[in-house]
Order: sequence, then structure tokens, then C-alpha cells
Amino acid sequence: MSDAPVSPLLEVRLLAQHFPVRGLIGRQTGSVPALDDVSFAVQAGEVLGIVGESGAGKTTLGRTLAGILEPTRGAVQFAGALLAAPGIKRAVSTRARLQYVHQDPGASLNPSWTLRRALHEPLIIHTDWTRATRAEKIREIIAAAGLVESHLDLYPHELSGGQLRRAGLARVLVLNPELVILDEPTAGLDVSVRAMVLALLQDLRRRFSLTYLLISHDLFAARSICDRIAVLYRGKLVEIGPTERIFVAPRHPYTRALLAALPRIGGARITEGFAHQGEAHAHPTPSAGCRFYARCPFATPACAVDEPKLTDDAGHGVACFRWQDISPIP
Amino acid sequence: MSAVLDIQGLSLGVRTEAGMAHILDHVDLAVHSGEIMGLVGESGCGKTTLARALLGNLPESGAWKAGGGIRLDGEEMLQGGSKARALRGRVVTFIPQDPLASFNPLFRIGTQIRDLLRAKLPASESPGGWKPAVISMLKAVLLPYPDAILAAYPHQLSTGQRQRVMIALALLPQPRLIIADEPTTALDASTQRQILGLLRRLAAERGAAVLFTTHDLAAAWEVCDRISVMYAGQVVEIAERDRFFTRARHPYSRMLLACLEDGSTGIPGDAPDPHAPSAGCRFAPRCPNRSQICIEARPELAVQSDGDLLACHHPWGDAAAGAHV
Repeated sequence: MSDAPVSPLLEVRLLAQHFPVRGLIGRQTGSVPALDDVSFAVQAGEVLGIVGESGAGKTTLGRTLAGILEPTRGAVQFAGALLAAPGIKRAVSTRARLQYVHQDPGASLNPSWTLRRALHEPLIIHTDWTRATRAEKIREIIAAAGLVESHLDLYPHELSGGQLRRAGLARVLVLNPELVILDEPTAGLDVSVRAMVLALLQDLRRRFSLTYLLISHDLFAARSICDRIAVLYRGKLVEIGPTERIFVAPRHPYTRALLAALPRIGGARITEGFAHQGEAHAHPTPSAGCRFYARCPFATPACAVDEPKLTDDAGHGVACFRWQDISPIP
Repeated sequence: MSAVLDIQGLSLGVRTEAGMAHILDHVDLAVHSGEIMGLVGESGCGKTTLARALLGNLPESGAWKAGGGIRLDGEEMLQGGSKARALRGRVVTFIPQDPLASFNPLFRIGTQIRDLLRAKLPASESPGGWKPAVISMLKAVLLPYPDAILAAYPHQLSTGQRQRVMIALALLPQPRLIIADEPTTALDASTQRQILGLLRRLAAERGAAVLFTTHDLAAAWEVCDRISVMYAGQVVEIAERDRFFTRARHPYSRMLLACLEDGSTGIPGDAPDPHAPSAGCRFAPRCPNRSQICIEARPELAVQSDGDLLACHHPWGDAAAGAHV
């Protein structure tokens, strides 16, 4: 990242995504706010992690940025141009520059196509290159992703789990994207393949000067590759800041609870003295006040009345009235 | 303390198009009452085959047993047929990785539990007689409003709630052994914590033995009493939890733990082909400590001075290690 103030690669402003709830005859009876007034910016070359529990809106955010969903409110700027807003149709040219990597890349490869055909396809759609030019580009990407050329003639079922991840990344990278959205890239992997995937992501980022948006509930993975972390809770951004600050000195009570729930090798057993902590979906989204109010150990009556705004304190923002009153984690 | 589960010298193969795949090779494993035994290893190392063998659930035509046996409370499990069917779901129960795939989406949770109990525990059958036990079990797994849960369809519950219903179901017949196959993989940190705490408490309170399969070493640290490590169908090390995480002896265990460190690139190399197993240690091709003997002779799983078990010719820290490579 440079020290001169440059405009961010991706800027999300007051983004909201509400899903309609329909009653008997298809009439809308309400809506589920999956995302509400989320604002953040990603600089070129940066890795921003989006963490939170299931149902926090992580995937909805990724899918809205990828153009799969149209936002209800708000706007997304990408490299200076308007990317997403209500009623905006996305230009095809931006699709290549912003790529979305699915959780299970094996499932997004056509099982009856060889890897070679799967890698040619995006280039046929987005470029007018000759077959030879495409083949050369594919050779370069395949090598960078740690595959060999003989893999190109294999079908997805003939590749191992780790090779499938490499193939999925290669397929996205042939288009030279600027921003890559990674949706749970390490979910369900064994420790060895997971370490391989994380190292590969780091290597590819340096090699192709990529910017990542990493969506994950694997906090260790987020810690190992992210520059900054944003914490989502029920569709709201509750904290955003540099990775080390989030892990060492988290400010929001929810972030603290999330980190406290992580088992740590060598630490005390966190399930000892186990108590029922409540669940996000046990309470309806409150119409006013802080969304974490019902589960927050530090809540005061004022927290149920107004919703705290995300502050911006030297790059470490938090949406909580009480964070300064809470003693830091020893 | 006698072992609830006692596996000795179990070797299993499966017929495939490419020939016989040797999935399990001389597996020795014992789990005691009230103990949570972690089973870790890479994808494809035989964890699931072992779990299916324990459930007596291997395909009768395709599977082939080369030797050894599984004794559950003294009963032989591998004979298949009606005997194993009678034990399955009562003496040994199973918590799956994906509870949504294990429920029928078209029936209410309560209906499915009732049908299951009719099939598995006919003695408890009296109109409505199944309900009090189920409700108290749902309360034991910390599910509030159990009546509402029984009336709900699977999609109406959250992932954490579904997993807790599965745990309640697995505990209901008061089994001697519970096989938990990556029960927290799909869960986020706060739900995982609840499920792990529940498993630990219930194992201790009810004296069931738990075989906990996982990729997540931090989760294994959290709940397990002992950890067994499998590589390509062989048990390479069984160690008490603290010793495993601080002083693991097998090079594979060491390399597995090193994957958690920042900057790790994983374990180089690939798992061996199960169709043509080597006569020696299956980890030898990827092992930094290997010598000629590792390729020729399979190391026996031997008891160490502290009671842990290890199958390795050149344990970590051994001065002679690596000298012959």
C-alpha cells in the first residue's frame, strides 16, 4: 500500500440488501435485512477479511459485490466507476476484473469438461485472443497455480481436493482480475491442504498484484493472510481494523465473544465452565437499538434505544457506545 | 478400566475398478468408557471407512476383510448381517457432519424421531410414550422450547440446532460408543463451542466412549482426552492430548502440527496409492527421517514408556534419524 492518498479500488457506501418475505398469495409481508448500511473501502493490493457467524451476511455481501444480487440501497464503486446500485446493470467488462471464487471450486467445474476446456472458456467469452495466445496464457497460470500441463487433460473427478482448489483459482486468474472475492476458501479442508491453499493465495497475490476480499468463518485463516478484518454481525459492520488490532485488542463486545469462542491449542479449555451463550437467530432483529443488545454482557438501557454508528478512530472503527468503558482483554 | 471399543489388527479393503484398494492396514485402537478419542489425519486416510466398519455399515459385496476384528463391549461387530444391525443405532450411534442431509425434509423432526425409536427401541413403544424421554434429552443438549423443535421441519432449525438434535438422537439409546464424524466442521466459532462443550459434558456424565473424527486440531485439543493419528490406513501414533500437542513423536504428527504455523506450505508430496501399498511404512516417501528399513519393514505400533503408542523406526528427535537418506 502506498502512503499517498489514492482512491480505493473498491468502495462500498451504505450498502443494504433486504430479502422480501412473502405471505400466502405472494404478497410481500416483510423483509429480512441481510445487510444494512455497510460501508468500507478496500485499497489496491490489500487483503480484507470479512468474518462473522453463519447468517451474519458475509456471503450476501460477497454475492452483492460479485453482481449476483442487486442491492436494495447503497452503492459500490469499483476502480472509480459505479459497479452496483439499485437499478444499475453491470457492464460485462467489469465481470472479468472482479472475480468470485466459490467455496468448493470442484463443484463449479463442469464434470464433463477437461480442465483445458474449463480454462479456455472464460477467455473465449471475455477476449478475442487466438487459440495459441489463450494456450500460452493458460500455461503461465497453470504453472503459477502449482499444476503441471498434464493436468489439463484431466476431468475434475481425476484431481485431488488440493488440485481442485488450484484449478478453481487458475480458472479465475486467467482473466487477470484486479479484485478476487474468496468465499470460505479453506472450509472443510484438512490442515495440510489448508496450509497449502493459504500459501498459494499469498504467492498468487504477490505475483499478480491481486486484491482479495476474504469471506470466512475460519478466524485463523483470516489472521494469517489478511491486512485488515471487518466483523459483521446480523448484517451490520460492528468493527473494522488492522488484523493484529482486531485479534489483540478487539473493541466490540461481539468481536471479543467471537475470539473467546476459539479453541486455542495450548490454552485452557474454553468449554470448561460452559454456559449457554444464546444464538443470533433466537432473537428477532430489533427495530431500534444495537443488534447485539440481547446477547451483550455490557449492554445498558441506552443501547436498546439508539443504534451505535461505526466510528473511525485511526483506522480501527467500532460500532459500540460502550467500548471505551470495557476493560481491555488481559 | 476395560475398553468399550477394541479394534485389533483390522485390515480392510474395497474392490474397485482399478483392483483392490487396501484402505485400512493393521489398525489397533481402543477407546474407554467416558473417553473422547480424537481421530485425525488427511482426507482419504481411512477415517470414514473405519467409522463405517464400526457401524457395521460397509457394503457386503464390495468390502473385503483381510484380518483382525472390532469388539464392542465384547461383541464382534464385523460379522455383518442381523447381529450388527441390532447393535447399530443402539450400542453404537453416529453424529454426522451434515445434519441437514440426514433428516428427511418433508417430515417434522418429531415424526422422524418417533419413527426412528419405533424401529430401534420397540420396547419403549406406547402411544406418546416416546415423547418425555426425547424432550428431556433435547433439554439436556440445551435446546430451549423442545416442543417447538419437535413440531418444526428440518429447514426451520438453524445449523447449530439441527446438530444438537442429532446429538440428542445419538444419545437417546444410551449407547456405549458414539462416532462423531467432524460434527463441527460446518459450524461457526460460537456454535462450535457450544457443540464441543456439550459433547464433552455428555461423554463425562453418561460414560459413553466417543470417537471424534476431525481435521480441526484446535477442536481436537478442546475436547479430546487422547489423539490417534492415521496415515493412509495405518495408525501411526496414539498419544495423550497434552503430549500429542507438545511432544508428538511421529514425524507425520509433527508435520501435521507444523501446518498450523504461519507461513506453512503444507506437507510436501501426496498420499500413497491404496491399490499398491508398500510393505514398509506408508509415510516413508514423504518422511524426512526415512531410511532403508522404513521402506522394507512396517513399524509395529508399540507402547512407549509413558503409555502412548507409536509406530515409527525413527521417531522425532532420534539422533540416528535421516542418516541413511
